[in-house]
Amino acid sequence: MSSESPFPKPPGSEGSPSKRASSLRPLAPPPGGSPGPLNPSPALFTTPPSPQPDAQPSPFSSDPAFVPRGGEQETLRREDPRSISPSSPEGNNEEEEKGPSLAEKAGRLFKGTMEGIGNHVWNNRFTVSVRVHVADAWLDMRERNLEGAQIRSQKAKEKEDLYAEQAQLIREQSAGLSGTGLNVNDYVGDIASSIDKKMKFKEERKIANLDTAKKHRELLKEKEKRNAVAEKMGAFYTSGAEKIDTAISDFEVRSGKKRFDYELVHAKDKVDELQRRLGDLESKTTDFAKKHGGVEVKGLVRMKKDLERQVERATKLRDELQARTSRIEDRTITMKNKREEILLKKEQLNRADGRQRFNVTERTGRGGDRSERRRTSTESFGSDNETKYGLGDFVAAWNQGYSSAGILHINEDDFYSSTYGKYTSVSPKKFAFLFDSYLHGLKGVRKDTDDPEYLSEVGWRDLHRNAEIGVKKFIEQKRIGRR
Amino acid sequence: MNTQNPQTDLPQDDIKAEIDALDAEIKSIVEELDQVEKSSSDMLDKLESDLTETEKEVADIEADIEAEEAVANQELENIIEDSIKDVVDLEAELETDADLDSE
Repeated sequence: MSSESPFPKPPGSEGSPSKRASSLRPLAPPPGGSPGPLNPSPALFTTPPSPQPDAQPSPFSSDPAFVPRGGEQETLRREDPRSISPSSPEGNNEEEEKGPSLAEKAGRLFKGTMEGIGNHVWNNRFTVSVRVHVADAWLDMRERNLEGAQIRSQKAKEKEDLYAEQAQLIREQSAGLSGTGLNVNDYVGDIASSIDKKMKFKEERKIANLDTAKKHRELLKEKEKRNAVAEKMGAFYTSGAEKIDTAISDFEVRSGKKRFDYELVHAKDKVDELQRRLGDLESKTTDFAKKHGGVEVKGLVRMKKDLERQVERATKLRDELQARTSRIEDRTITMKNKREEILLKKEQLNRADGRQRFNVTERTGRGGDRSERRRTSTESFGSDNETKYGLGDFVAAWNQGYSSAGILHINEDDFYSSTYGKYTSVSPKKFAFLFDSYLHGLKGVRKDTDDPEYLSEVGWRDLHRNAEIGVKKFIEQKRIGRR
Repeated sequence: MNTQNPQTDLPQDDIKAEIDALDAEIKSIVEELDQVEKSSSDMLDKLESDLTETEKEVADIEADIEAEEAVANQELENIIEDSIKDVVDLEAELETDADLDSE
């Protein structure tokens, strides 16, 4: 009997039975199968991360002198001769056939990442947010690689289905020939060997899939870690800003800065007045001297000199008061700016984090515009889920409370933030904070009154109570919508 | 008899009284000036001293934040390092898989 297969030989299948077996083609295309290569494109690993929506051109992207942290990988890419001779006639070794090396890919990705986050690198102070970005980029790349692995896994499954189909076909064909007297054993043996091989591949693939799943879990863990770091740092920024805010408020309350401000203005006014009176007096003495025959009048010379000295002293005192007050003001602003800087860092971190912590969806939709977000970010004192009050509301409530005591009214200009402008919208908690700080800051401001009762602590408490009642009443009215 | 001033013909006592009045006014102004100088200087001293104390508090808070930033940066650095290592491992593994696919 002939050992030749009874089946027609496919083109190129001449040779050993094993060669024929390996060249067996599918009878039908796999369902949903793609004829494309199973290997993912190298571009999958070299695509730079998507640019940030509001990214500015990186100042470093075109700066040849800039070598980012880890930039040695980029240097490696430039210097590696493999990267410039993959298609050279001599370059027929295995490394060259595989295309760019891993280090090259990592270098390219790192460069792309650094350029993509260039707008955040502009200020080295924001290193945490930059690192959050970089961590994100690496985690994203891992995710893409895992997606590649999943695609391969899917294709492998399609292959397995195909093998099963082929095996079934061979079995049917063998069964059909069993009565013909033809010897199909060799051919069937080859097929069986091929199927064994494929089944082994299937087992290996299963293990690989398990590894992929494990890596997915690890990736999730790493993302959680990174998020936890960003979250923790964000909370720390918030608490730091709050602490600074409290320290500044304490300072203003403890030292009675508001009262001092008032008294200093009063003192400067007083000095001005004295200076004016001294000037008048000087004119008087001059007139007197002229009238009475000049400086020969006894005591007039001394008086004139004394007057001149006092005028000079009053001028100097006023300038000194002005200078010292300005310096104190500058120092206070510097402290307030530090708080704003911390809030800015937090904002930067939030962007790097990719999560909107700004609860402005009710009013402005997703994210809100930049100015809205900035304004809301200053309101870290209050609960973001509650109704916001306008500054006008606050002023109205204050005045309502105080008008019952018939004394002090305020205006919006007292609440001025150098960075954000006026607080145009505040949460109830911030509302209460403003109220308290303003109230305490003003404590004693009515010192110019003649009423001793007013100046007493008890009297002040009464005023406080009146204002507080007014504010509470206002909030209540606002809540039930009667206002 | 009153002594007459040779140049003004005014009684000397009247001149003296007028000068004394001017002198008294100068003294009163000087006293007020002294008072303003002292009170404003005391106020500013206290304000400056409180401010210095507050600045120290703010500096401590800033130092805390910086320390925390350093820790956070180190943690993120570790995550980045781990990720780089994993990417390299995964890529090597995928290359092995590709070899397997080609069989």
